[in-house]
Amino acid sequence: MKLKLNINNKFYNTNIDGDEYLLDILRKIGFKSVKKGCDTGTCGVCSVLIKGKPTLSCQFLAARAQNVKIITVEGLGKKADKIVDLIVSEGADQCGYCGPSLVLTTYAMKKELKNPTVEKINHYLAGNLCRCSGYEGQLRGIKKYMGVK
Amino acid sequence: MLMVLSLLQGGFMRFDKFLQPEDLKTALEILKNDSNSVILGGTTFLRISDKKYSTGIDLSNLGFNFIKETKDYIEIGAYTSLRTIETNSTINKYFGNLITKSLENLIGIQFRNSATIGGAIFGRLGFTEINTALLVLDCELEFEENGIVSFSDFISNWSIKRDILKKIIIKKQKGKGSYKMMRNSSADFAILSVAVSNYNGIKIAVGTRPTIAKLSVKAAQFINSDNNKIDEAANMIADEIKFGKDLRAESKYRKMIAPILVKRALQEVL
Amino acid sequence: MMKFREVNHSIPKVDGRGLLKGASAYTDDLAVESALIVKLLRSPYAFAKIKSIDTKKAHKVEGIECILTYKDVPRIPITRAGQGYPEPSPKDKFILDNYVRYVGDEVAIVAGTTEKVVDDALKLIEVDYEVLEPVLDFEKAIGHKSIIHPEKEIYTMFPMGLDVKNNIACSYMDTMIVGDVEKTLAECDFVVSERYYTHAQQQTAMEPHTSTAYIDVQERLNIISSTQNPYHTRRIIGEALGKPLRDIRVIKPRIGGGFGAKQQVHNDLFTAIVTLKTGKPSKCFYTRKEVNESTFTRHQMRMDIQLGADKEGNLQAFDMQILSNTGAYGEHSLTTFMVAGSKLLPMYNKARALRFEGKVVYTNKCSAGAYRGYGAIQANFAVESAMCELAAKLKMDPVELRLKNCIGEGESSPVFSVMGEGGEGIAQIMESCKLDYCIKRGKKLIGWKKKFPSKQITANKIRSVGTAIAMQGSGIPLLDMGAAVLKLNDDGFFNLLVGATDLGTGSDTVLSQIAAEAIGVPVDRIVITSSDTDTTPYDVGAYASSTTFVSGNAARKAGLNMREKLIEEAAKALHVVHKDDVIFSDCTFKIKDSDESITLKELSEGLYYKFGADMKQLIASGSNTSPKSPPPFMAGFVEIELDTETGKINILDYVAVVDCGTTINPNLAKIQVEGGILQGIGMAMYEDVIYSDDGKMQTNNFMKYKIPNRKDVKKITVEFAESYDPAGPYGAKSVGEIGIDTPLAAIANAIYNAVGVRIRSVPLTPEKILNGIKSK
Repeated sequence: MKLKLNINNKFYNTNIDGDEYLLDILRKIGFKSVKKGCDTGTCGVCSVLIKGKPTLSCQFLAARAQNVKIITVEGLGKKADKIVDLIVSEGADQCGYCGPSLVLTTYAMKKELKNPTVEKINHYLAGNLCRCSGYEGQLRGIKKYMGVK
Repeated sequence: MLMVLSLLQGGFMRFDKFLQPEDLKTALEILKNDSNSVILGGTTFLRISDKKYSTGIDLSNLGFNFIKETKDYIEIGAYTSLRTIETNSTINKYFGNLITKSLENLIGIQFRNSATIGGAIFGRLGFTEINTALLVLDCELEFEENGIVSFSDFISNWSIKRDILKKIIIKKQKGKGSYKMMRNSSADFAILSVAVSNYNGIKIAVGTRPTIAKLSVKAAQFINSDNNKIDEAANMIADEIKFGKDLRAESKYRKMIAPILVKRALQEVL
Repeated sequence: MMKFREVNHSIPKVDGRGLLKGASAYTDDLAVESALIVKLLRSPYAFAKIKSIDTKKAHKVEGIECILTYKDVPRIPITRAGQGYPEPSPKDKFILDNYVRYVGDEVAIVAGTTEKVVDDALKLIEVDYEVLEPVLDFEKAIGHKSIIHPEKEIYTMFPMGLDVKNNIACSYMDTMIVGDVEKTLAECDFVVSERYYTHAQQQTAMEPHTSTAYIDVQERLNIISSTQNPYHTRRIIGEALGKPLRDIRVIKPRIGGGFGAKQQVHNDLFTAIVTLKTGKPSKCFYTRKEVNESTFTRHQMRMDIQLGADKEGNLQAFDMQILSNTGAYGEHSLTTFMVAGSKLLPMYNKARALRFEGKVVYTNKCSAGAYRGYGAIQANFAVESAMCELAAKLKMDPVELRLKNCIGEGESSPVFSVMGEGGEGIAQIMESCKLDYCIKRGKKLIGWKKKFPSKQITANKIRSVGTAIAMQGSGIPLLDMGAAVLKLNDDGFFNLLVGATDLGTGSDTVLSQIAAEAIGVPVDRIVITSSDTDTTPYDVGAYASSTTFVSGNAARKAGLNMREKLIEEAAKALHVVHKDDVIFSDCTFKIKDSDESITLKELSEGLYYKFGADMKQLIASGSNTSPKSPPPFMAGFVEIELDTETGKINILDYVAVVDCGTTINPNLAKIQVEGGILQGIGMAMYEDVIYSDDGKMQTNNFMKYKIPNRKDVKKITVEFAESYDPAGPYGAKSVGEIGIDTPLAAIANAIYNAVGVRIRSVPLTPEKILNGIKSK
């Protein structure tokens, strides 16, 4: 079936099977920042923003994405720079595989949570698994971004 | 059990046709006439079953994504995501200690942005913690064909198999609720979940045991007859409720901690 | 502390911004769109012989281009382990065999145009199995009536005790013995003699194993792979396919984590053979289920520890006997076993009687392989738990017991010369060892004096502390070799070419810093390319904590070499006879006591375009191998809060004080330790590899296999001791593995200090703790 996707405020025409998920379609179109890491929607590396909310693209049927606003980290452009720089300055980017989804989710978190505690930050980001960094370094950078002392 | 076997195969759910019917009546007809059709909710669990369906019926644009407050009830559409429910201020105002806490530890916000309450309830899966919470509330479900059914009836008998869940209706009540759980890693499924409410008397439910949530009768009766006997009532749970074993724990462990969680929950509502 | 210009600075990783902003850089990103999808049909049985396999129906699926069974592939036994040559592992694996040895073992390779087409074809392959009785209990493997490796082609490249009739992959007996253990134990005032178990663990790199292959214009096989060792991969693929190495190229792009998971040849075998057979590009991207079930786990081990001490707490005897489970194939069987002994016994070097022995057995389970810690973490759990049990018997503070007995600077141990990683070792003196400082500092940071052993907080909450110390290595002496090449470009910047593999650890950055320091230029003058067997020099790859120490010294040598050549050319350009009159700093060459100078940029342009007969391309190189492997050390301390009614524990604080020599990049070193600690906590508390009674792995996805989450640990505190090892580049040792070793014993010891329950197996679940409390 034909599909018109709104990705990062641009339109893309594509052909899909009804049972395909957004993750595979996004990667086919060329958005390689969206990654595949698990089979069960549990790791978070495929996260994109759908209507501004962090959502698993591996759980989102592409057929439902007609006219829905999708943002990947490529679409954040300069808005991602501050988060990226704060994580990279800690060395917490490491293998980078969980990176783009973490940047997106953090960006959404700043819009959703006002003056969160560290506990609330970790709760919001709980679905973004990381195996390299031990989370501490990422938290050091993200706390600065969220303005937490 | 079929789903467990399918998980072992390692493939993913497929369907040939993606349909978005114009109304529920049409959707129900397809569902009943084609035994190999399936309603597509969040598809978070559907996706990992290695089944091939003929038709996937999508109702996500028929307006069942809502949380409505009426004079006496809160109504939640079946397509409302778990995350929307978790963060909703009305739900938090009335049932925060029960509903929010029974949702907030499931995997991550992205997962909860994808999973729908309809899918979570209709699946009648053992590890669905919100079932434990809903059991101690005055909760009903509205189906397209079967109409209004009490939540506890739906959970305890499996007679409704091919129908469409439209909304969840919870009565607003004054009182206290408490949700307690045990899990190993913070984002893992629960080893045990306990919900206790004190609206018109105490209700106690135990879930993820690892099977589906169940209301207590004996222990609840006991505590309702004497609000001071918390320890005794809690201990009765160990024999009243059946516990099983899974990857996460033996039945013996669940049996040991159930009275502890019930006790702690009772202490919060009494 | 020495002051350096480029080294010992926390600069950002050279690839950090690019990766976080979504650069297309991993294997699956680089595979061409038209690549055939390669998937595997896998065995549903733990042990079976294929009686017949029929692929006719599968071939009829439209879009299928290639189906291979054991009849269609070369029958050459290999080992998939990427570790040196001759390989210290049995050659016991074929690309495809007519025996399947674990649930998930490969049965057939299918390649087609789309995933759906391949999935359909997989379901149509008809296999008739003769199901055999599997060996599922590693403690019953020896003498089991099923022989897992009956094939006649199996062999080892040097004797390691392979005994297929008894399902023994390797054996190490009567070699590492000092003194008389039994006699000494009998003379000791206090003895601990206990058995400990560790289970398998999944490395869980976030990127599943991926490989893509294509034929280039010179008709050579090119493989892009998420590998930790491209050179070993090239050699093994060549051997398995009977192909000359000059016709194979292996490239490692960015990879999403390794930790040892990718230190073997995985799906490269399949993409290679499909591409060779079809002439078309192919790719294989494992599902998480395949990663868990069909790659490699950590070795499950049973460890019998005997420790004997005198009244004052001086350790006299130290005996470790290990039974290790290598699963269906023996890839890392000998080497992980050896590391268990060689990294624990020397830590308590004052014991006069030592013994280390054991066997590694085959079972019909997922093969065990490399994972950070690599034997040392399992043995650390056993030994460091036993040390605390000994302290309890002595009624001595466990920290004092460590300080009394642990190895110190300038000391040695007879173990070093006896035990290498597959055979003989090399004697070593600890030229840097700040272990005593690490212990004392960590003790202070956690607040040990006030908190040991425990404090009752409320009626059902107790807080307690526990400790463990650890030692690892820095590369494998005289087996690991790495090299670096530097090339000067016009505009005065350098290409640094290294074989060393950056798994996300930041080695590209660290090696650039070392090279920059050696040349004497800012690190932004270095552009690094790594891990391509055609264009970068040899390196063993990232394992055994070798990169900073072994490859780093190669980068340093190349840098010093380049600096010399630059000065030589600058002298010529400045018409100076003696090179020593040239001063090179701030990217400028000056003559002593003169105004004459030439910038690096001007020199490089001259060498390329202007210097006439003196034009040349400056290239410098350095290779490095070392007879030394200076160990990093760590003291780990944990504070937990234990709920005595449910057994649940929460980690309040984990303190780590590390001696890794100079931290080339302090931020990156810190993250290595923090990341390692959390993986250790995962193994200690949450992660468990569970099989059904018929050998099916149950924990084969992230819903059932739980790695630690952001909410699981409140605080991790990491500090580095001031330390400098003369053998390392600018004093650096290694830091890649040391972080993971201590949490298992530290937490087990804290549980004991809280409620007197001693748990001798991991994971340390609330259930085990509550059962322990109830049975007291």
